[in-house]
Formats: sequence, structure tokens, C-alpha cells
Amino acid sequence: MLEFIGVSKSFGAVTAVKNVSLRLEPGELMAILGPSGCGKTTLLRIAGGYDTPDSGTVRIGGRDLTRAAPEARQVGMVFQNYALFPHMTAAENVEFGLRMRRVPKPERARKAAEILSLAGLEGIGERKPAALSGGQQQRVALARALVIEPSLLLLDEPLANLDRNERLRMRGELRTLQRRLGIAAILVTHDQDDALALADRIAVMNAGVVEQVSTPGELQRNPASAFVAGFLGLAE
Amino acid sequence: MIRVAYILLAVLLSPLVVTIAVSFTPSAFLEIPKNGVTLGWYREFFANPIWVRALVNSLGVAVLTAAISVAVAMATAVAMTRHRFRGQDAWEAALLLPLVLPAIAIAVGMLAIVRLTPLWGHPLSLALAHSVAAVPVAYLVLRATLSRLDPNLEAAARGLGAGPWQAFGLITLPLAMPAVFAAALFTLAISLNEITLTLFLATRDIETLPRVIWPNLRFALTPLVASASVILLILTLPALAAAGWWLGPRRR
Amino acid sequence: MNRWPLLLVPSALLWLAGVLAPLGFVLRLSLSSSGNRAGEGRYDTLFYEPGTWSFASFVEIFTNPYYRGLFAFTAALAGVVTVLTLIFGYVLAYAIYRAPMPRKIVLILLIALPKFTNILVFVFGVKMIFGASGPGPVIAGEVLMLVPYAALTIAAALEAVPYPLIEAARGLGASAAMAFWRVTLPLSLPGVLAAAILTLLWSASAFLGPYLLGEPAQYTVAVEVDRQVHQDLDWALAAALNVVLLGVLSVAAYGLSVWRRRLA
Repeated sequence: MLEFIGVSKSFGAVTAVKNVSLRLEPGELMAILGPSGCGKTTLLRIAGGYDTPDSGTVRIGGRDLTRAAPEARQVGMVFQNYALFPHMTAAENVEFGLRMRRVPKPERARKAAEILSLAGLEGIGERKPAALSGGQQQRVALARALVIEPSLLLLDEPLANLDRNERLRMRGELRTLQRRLGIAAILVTHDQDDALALADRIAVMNAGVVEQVSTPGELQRNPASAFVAGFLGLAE
Repeated sequence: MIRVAYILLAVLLSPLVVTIAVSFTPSAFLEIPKNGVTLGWYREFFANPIWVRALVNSLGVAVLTAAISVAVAMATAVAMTRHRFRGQDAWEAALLLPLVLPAIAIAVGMLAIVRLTPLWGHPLSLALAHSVAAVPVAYLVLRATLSRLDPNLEAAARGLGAGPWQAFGLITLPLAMPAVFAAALFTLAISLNEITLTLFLATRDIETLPRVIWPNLRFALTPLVASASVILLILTLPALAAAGWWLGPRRR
Repeated sequence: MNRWPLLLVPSALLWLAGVLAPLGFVLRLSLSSSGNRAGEGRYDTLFYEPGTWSFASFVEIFTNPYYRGLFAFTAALAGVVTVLTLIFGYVLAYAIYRAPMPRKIVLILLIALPKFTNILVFVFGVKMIFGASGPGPVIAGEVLMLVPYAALTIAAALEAVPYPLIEAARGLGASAAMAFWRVTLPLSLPGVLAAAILTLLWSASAFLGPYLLGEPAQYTVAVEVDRQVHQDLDWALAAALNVVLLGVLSVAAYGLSVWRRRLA
């Protein structure tokens, strides 16, 4: 579904991503787990087209999209701070992607209402983001990314800004929704509990390099390096 | 110390107060009105084609200046806040140089250059010269706002299918609109009040209001100059309101 | 993807045409012969001889006592104006610093008001209050024109000094004057120097105030530039005066900014 082949990216003297190769299967949810500054967000931004790699290839749905602009990919992204448009209502936010695709207004409204109710957001469509709770903002961001029926969903620390209760609820909902839509997703997180609870497979990153890619169970049984073991809190 | 400050403030504002008072004097001389006020000098201002034409010229040049300098400053501010490049600080310092450069120094050079071009005697020459002085101010206003906008907003719009121009027009521009408005008013005020460059560049046909006030100020002083000044003052009041917004609590 | 540098093109063009080209032209002009001024009064002639090279204008400026006096007067005026402006500016800035919130903004706006009004309106008012012309009105006019900038610059620096710090000094037994002298003033000094740089640059290139409020005895270098361009029609000399003025100002501004950086 998504393939990174030998992808590298530096910012000035700092190498953010070093020769990363990863492959995401259709319908799979992969977590990229690592400490802050390990390059996981950069990798996600490269998948979305927000950063261009210095070398390597990015394939989405079999097509080479390494240098394609974000608007030329059918990829949904939920930013860590949600990046909701503050001057638009929740419904207008959700409809934005459809507006860009010149979907006629009545259909736009219908689809937006549909996805908002799917995300458990009935009745808040007319509110501006500032009038929504953190959890509601999160759902609007998710709905906005999903309404364009993306082939791939990118989630940047989607649970980081939520309180504990909302976080646990959102974890379950996120998983259910992703399964139900059968959409491939990458979730970037620094929280091993989120990764272990949500992901089909986990890629552990450190200093721009992917140290290990395994299922949660395998990762806990056989950490490939001292770093992986340490980061998962499994150190002897 | 605080009490001294308020006395100073009164002194600072006294020239304006006196000018406004004199503009309503019924006397033919520069006097504070003693018995009664009159709008006679304002009537005379609008009856005189020279003053009216100067007013029209001033407004035209000011609108041109605002359009040019806000557009130029916006493009620069977007590049400066969204990207990092080598020599950026030096570039920015050069851009802000007109703020401290004596206007008279560039005025002589501008006169010598513009006279060799078809722009000589065209209002656009004044608008461009005023823009040289106005762009740094507009830039500072726009940069402050753009640097506080989350760059992920435009990124999100792009990811949802918007092209770079669409993302700018639908997301960044509406969110920066108050600052664009403030910058436009500031640059209007700069152009309306500019005199040094205007003195060197304005030919007879494109004389602005300050340019027509100028010789009157040195020689034939009549209360008409005061009313012309007050009209100029009224035209620049929106810029002061913009400054109030700019400093106000809404900004934080 | 990487076409964003195009965004810098408009301002770069305006800068090249509106700042660099005029300055370069002035520099070249200052090294030209003055010409014979045959076309006096006519605007379609050039009041210098294109293509010539000559140091005559600089020689004139450095040898003629009239010009030495002109520069000395300009420097003295700038010095007096700068000192007065900084003192008054500090007093106003302190009032801004201590004012509670809504009044603070009103105060800033009132201090800035003269800067949003036409300088000619202002000059007109100064004439009415301080007299038609002479050294008094020139100094008063220049100081009043520059005080708002100084006050706002210093106020910005003062705002960064937390008031509890001064209260702490008072709590440790410092008198109000002592606390101001030992805590407030040193902490605001970089702002004062920034204001000093701006004030000195602007007052040394003062043109409108001395021209409109002064008599020939109070004319500054900038007034002489205008006189040479519009009346004596010696553009090479006008340009050379500009070059010397800019040179002196650059050195002064550089010196002050080095000092300021050492303080910060």
C-alpha cells in the first residue's frame, strides 16, 4: 500500500531520516514508535508529501509519488495539533476536501453529516474549532481526513493531547473505525502503550533509523536491540 | 516622574490641538478662534481646484502605494516566515534599511534616476517611491502575524487537495486579513504624509496635498493651511485605529 | 516545489530600484564634475556632467569653512536633540510602563498620534506655539518629532523589566530612587541605546524641522542638500554632501550598536 525504499532526509547538518525502508500492507495499521526527535514525524510528512526526501523512493498504491505535491496524493493526515481551520465551522472543515474536489454542495453536506455522525459528532457541525473540546477537535480532524476517502491515513501523535479517559476511549474508536473502513494507516507515537494496543505491526525508530519492525507480541518477546528493549521498558 | 510625563504628553499634543483650533478661526490670520468658529476655510479649500486636485492626487497615490507595498510585503513575509535560508538575517536587515536611511539621501538619487525614465511626472513614480518607505512597515506588521500562524494549517489544506495558491487564498489570507488591513492603513498613512521624496519627485501635475501645503508653510501662511492639515489628519485617523487594534488585547 | 524564492523577487526589485540604485547613483554623482549650470531653471537639463570623474565636490566640502561649519552645526544640533529626546522619551516610557492595562494602550496611542499625523501639521502647530523661526523652534520641533519613537522604543525595553524585581529591591531596603538607579535604569539601558541610535540617525539627517522652523543660521546638511538640488543646482555637490553625511552616520550607528551589543 505504502512503500518507503531507502528514504533519507536531512535538515542542514541534522539527518532526520536515514535510509529507511518500510512496507505497509492494505488495511494494516502500523505504529512508528520512538522518542521525540527520532525522525518519525519527518517520515510521516514524507508520506504525505509535506517534505521531500533527499534520496529514496516513496510508493503509494504502487505509484512512485516521491516528489508529488500533497494535493496530488489521496492521503488523509491528522496533525498532532489537529490543524483545524480556525475560521471555519466543524462542518466547513470536514467539507473542505470535498470542496477542493468540486463535489456539489448538497452531496458535500450529506457526506460531511454522515462522517460526522460516524465520528460521534452529531449537532456540533456549526461550531468553530475553538468552541470544541480536545476530543471533539480530534474527531473533527479525523473526519476531515477520512471524508476524502483516502487510500492511506496518517496519524501524528493522535492521542497525545487528550486526557486519560478520552485517550482510552479514542484508542478503541480509532481502531474500530480504521478496521471498519479497511484503510491502511500509519500512526506515529512516542507512547509504547498506544502502539502496543493499536498496531498490527510496530516499527521502532531511533536517531533516524528503523531498528525493528515486528508485531507487538514479537517485539516484546524478541527485542532486536538494547535500544528497543530499553524503550519498551523491557530492559533486564 | 509620572506627572511630568503627562505634562510632556500635553506639550507633545499641543501642536495638533492648536492646528485644529486655528482651522476653525473666523479671522484671516493665524489665530485661535476667540468669538465663534467657522467652516469657512474648509469651504475655501474645497472651492479651490488646486487644493482639490492635490487631495485627489494624494488619495490616488496613497491607494496605489498601499496596494503595491502590501502585496510586496506579503510575498516577502510569506517567504521569510515559511522558509529558512542562508543570509536571511542580512537580507531582512537590508529590507528594513529604509527605516533608518535619511530620505534625503535616496531622494536625490531617485530624482536623478526617475528623470531619465518615462515614469517622470507619472503618479506611479510617487507610489513606487512611497512604497520604498512603506514596505518595511507593512512587512513588520505582516511578518508578526504570519509567524504566529500554524504552518500546518496550509499543509493540512494541501493534503485535502488545495493547490498552493488555493491554500494561501482560503486559509492564510483570511486568517491574516486583520493584519493585511492594518498594514494597508499604515501604508496609506505613510503615503498621505510623505513629503521629502515627494518634494523631489512630484511634478506640477502630480502634486500631493503635503506638496501643496509645503510652500504655504514657508511663505503665505493663512488658516487655509490649517484646515488642509486637518483634512490630512482626518484621512490618517483610520491608521491610528489600526494601531489601536494592533496593540489591543485581541492580538494575544 | 522549490519556487518559493520567487516570492522574494518583488521586494528585491523594489529594493534594488528604490534603495541601492539611488544610493549608487548618489555615490557616482558625488564623483562627477558639477557642470556649467547653463540650463539654470530648466528641468530638462542635467545639473552635473555625466561620465566625468572629479573629487572637486569632496575637496570643496573638506576645505571650505562654510561646509565644516555646516557639519559642526548639524552634529551639535543632533547631540542636543538626542539628549533632550532621550530624557523626555524615558519619562514618557516610564509612564507607559507603570500605567495599568487599558490606560497603557490609550497612552501609547496618544504618544504615537503625532506620528500618524502629517509632519507639516505638526510643524505648523510648533510654529504657532514656539514662534515662527529660530534655534528654539528648531530644537523644540525636532525633539517633539522624535520623542514618540524614543518613548516607544524605551517602553518596549522597560516592559521586559518585571516590576516585582523592583519591589524586591525595595523590600531589601533600597529607596525608590536607589531601586530605579540600580535596577530599572541598567536593565532598560539597551532600549535607551537603541533609541539613541535611531534618534541620532534621524536628528543628524534632519531636514524638515530646520528647513521649516529655522533661519539660514540653523540650516543642516540635509537642508543644504535640498538647496543645492533645487536652488544652486549643483547636484554633484549635493550628492557629495549626502555621501559624507551617510559615512559619518554609518560610523556613529555602528559604534553605538557595538556598544549596545556589549551591554546586552
